[in-house]
Amino acid sequence: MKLQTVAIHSCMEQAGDRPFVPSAPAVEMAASFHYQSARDLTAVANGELEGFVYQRYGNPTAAALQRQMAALDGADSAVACSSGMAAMHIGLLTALRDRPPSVLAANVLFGQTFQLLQMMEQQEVVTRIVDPCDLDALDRALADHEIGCVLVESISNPLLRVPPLDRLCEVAGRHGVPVIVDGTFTTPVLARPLALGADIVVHSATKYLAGHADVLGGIVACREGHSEYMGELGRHLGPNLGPFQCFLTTRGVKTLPMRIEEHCRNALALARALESHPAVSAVHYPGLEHHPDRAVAERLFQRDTDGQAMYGGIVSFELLDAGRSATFRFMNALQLVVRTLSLGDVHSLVTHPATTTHRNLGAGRRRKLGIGDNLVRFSVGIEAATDIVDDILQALDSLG
Amino acid sequence: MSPQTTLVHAGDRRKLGDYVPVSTPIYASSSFFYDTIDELADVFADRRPGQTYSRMGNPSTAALEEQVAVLEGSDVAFATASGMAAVHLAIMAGLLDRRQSIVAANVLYGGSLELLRSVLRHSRIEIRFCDFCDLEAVQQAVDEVRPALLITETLSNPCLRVADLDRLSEIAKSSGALFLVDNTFTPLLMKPFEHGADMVIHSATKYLGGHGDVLAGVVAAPSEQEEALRQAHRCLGGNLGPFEAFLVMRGVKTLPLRMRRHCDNARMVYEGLVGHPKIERLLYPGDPQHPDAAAVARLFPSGQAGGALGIDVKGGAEGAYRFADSLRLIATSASIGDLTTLALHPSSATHRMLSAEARAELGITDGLMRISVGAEAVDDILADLRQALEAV
Repeated sequence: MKLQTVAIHSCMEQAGDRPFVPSAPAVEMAASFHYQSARDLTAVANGELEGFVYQRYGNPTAAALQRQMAALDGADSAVACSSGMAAMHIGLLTALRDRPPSVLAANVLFGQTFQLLQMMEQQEVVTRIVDPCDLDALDRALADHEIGCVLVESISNPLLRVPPLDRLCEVAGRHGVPVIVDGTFTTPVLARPLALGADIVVHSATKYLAGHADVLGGIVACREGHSEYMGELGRHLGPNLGPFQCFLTTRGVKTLPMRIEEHCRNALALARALESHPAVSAVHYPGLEHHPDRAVAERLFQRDTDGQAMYGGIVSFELLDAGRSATFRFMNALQLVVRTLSLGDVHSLVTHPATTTHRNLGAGRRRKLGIGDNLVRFSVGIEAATDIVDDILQALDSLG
Repeated sequence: MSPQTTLVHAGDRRKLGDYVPVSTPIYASSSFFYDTIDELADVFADRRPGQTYSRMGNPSTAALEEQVAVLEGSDVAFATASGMAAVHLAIMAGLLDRRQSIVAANVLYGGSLELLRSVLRHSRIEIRFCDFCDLEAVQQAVDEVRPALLITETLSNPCLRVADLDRLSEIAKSSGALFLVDNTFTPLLMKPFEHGADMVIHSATKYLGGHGDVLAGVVAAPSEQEEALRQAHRCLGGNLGPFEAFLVMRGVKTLPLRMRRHCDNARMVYEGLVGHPKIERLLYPGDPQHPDAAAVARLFPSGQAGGALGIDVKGGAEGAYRFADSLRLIATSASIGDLTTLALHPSSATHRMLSAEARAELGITDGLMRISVGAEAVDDILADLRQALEAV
C-alpha cells in the first residue's frame, strides 16, 4: 500500500468480534483495566493473553498511534512518548544497551539534545562529535574509538545539512555500530531512515506529525531486535503520551502526506524568492542548486505525488550586514508569519535560533557552527505560497 | 489573501479580554506567541516571566504544579507523564553533579524496583536495597555506599509497613544524602517535608487524580532542588499533557473529601474483617498490633491510616484467586486510589518479576491480596468482601 493510504488506515482497529469499527480511534482515558478474573490479569501482564492492564504498560489509543507510526516508518515497533526529548532519551538508552557507553553525535543537533548528552555524561556516557556529511571522518572516528551508537538528524537544525544517511549507515554497519536518526525534519513522507539502514528513528511528534501546534509528543521506532528493550524502557521510565495527545497525533498523521507536500512546495518557492534578494546574504535550503547536499537530498528523499522532488519545509537564511537588533526588527515586521518556537505547524512560523533553540551552546560554539545573530529559521506553513512570500518580502523591505 | 492562508490563521492567537476564566483552561498549545521577538528572547533568557514551549512549561501544567506545591507545602512542583516519570525525574535530578549511588527501601512499588534494578543499573549507577524498617541496616548501608539519594515510600507497597521518616531523614542528613519520599499512598495524611524530606513524589494516577481516568505524576521540592529538577525535566522530556493536568487538578479539589472517606472505609473494613476465619493475616497500618504502630501514631492523623489493606487469604495462591474471582462489586485492577474499590494479587501482578524467595522475604505471600478501598458505601464493600471470602 502507498504511504497516503497507510497514513489514513493504519491507526484504525481491524474488524474483529464486533460488527462495527469506529471511524477514529477512541480516546481511552482509563488508567487501568478491570478484570473479572485475577488469572486473566496476570496472563495479560505476562503477554500470554492480548489486552491492556494499566495505561503506562499500553492502552488502546497509544496502540493506535504506535501502529500507525510503525507502519509509516517501516518499523518493528514504535513507542509514543510525552515529548520528542523523551523519545530521544529512550532511543539513546535502547541503542546503548550492551554497547560501549559512548555516542558519536553529529556536530549540529537540536540544542536540547546536546544538553541531554551532557546530562548522560554523569553516567559516564561519553559524547564525541563528527561532521556526518564527512564519511571519512566518520569512518576514522569509528575505527579509532569504542563507539556505542551514532546519532544524527536527517536534516540538521538549523543549518539544514543533509547527511548521506544510506552511506552513513553503511559505514557504521561495517563497524557494527547502530545508528539513531532524528527524523523530525523529514518525517516518513520524505525519508524512512530504517529502510536506509538505521536502527532507531526518533520524531518530535509536536512538529509535522501532529502538525497543528496543539500537541507535545514524541515517537521512537526501531527495527527488529530492539523492540523488547525499547518497550521496557517506555514502561519503566514512564514518559507516556496521554490518550488525548495520542488521538490528536493520529488525526494529524492522516493528513501528513498532503501537508508535507505543500510544506515542501512552499519552502522551495520561498527559498527561490529569497535567493537573489539584496537584503539576504545566504539562504540555506537543500533544494537550491548551490546547496552542498542537494544531490544527497535528491537521492534520499521521496518525490511528491506529482513526481516533483521534495526538500523539506524549513528554510533558514541570513540577513546581510544585520546584527541582532536589525534581525529582530525584520522578525517584528512580519504580519502573517508567527513569531514562536517549534516548527512543522500548519501556519508559517519564524524562530531566532541564537536566542532560543541554540542559546545554551554559547556564542563561541554558535559562531563555529555558523549560527549567527543574523540567522532566522522559517518553518514554512501550508498557506498559499504567495501570501507567505509576500509577507517576508514586505518585512525585508521595511528594513530599508 | 487566499482562503488557504486565512483558514490556517483565523480565530487563533487572540488576546483574552480583561476577564479571567474561573477554572484554568486546557492550553493545548505546543508553543507561545509574542507581539515582538524581543519579548520571546527575554522570556527565554529569564529576563521576564512567560511561556515559550510546552516542554519548558505550560499554563495548564503550571496551575497543577502550583496546586501540588500548596498540597505538599513545597516551593515548587513539576508535573510528569506518569508516577514512574516522576520517580525517574527525581532520581536523575538528585544524582546531577553528585555521586552516582542510591540506597533504596527493598519494598517499593514493582515499577520503581524495576527502574532501579534494570534500567539504572545499566547506567552504571550503584544501587543498594535494604529493609527500611531496620534502621541499623539503613545506617550501615548508608555508611558503606555514601549515597547521593535515600529512597522510600511512606507506606510500603503492598505490605503496608510505615517508614519512620524522622529517623530516616536524620540518617540521610548525617551522610549528606537527599531524602526522596514517595507519598502516593498517603497524600494529606503525611507531610514528608515536615519530617525532613528533600523531594516528594506522587503517582497522581492514584489519589490525586482519584478517578481512574488519568496517568500522571508530580515531584514537589524546595527551591534548593528547583534548578536540578528543571534541567533534568527539560532533557528527559517526561512532561504531563495539558488535558491530564486539567483532570488531575480537578481531582485534587475533592482530595480532602475523598481521602477522609477512603480512610474511614478502610478502617471499617478492617474492623469488619478482623478475626475472619478465612483470613490468615490482615494488614492495616491502623491495627493497634501493627509492627509500626508507634510510627503510625506519630506520623498519621488520628484514626486515618490510609485507604489500603492487605488481606492474606487462607489457601495460598489458589485461595487468593478464588477470592478475587468471586468479587462482584470489586474489580481486579493494577491501580489504587480510585473511587471504586480495587483488588490486586501482588505476587502474580505488580511483584511478579521478583523470585519466589525474594517475595517471601518481603512478606509478599501467595495468598496476599491488596485492597484499595474505594468511596462506595462501606456496607456494600464489606458485603462483597465477605461473600467472596465464603468462596475460599
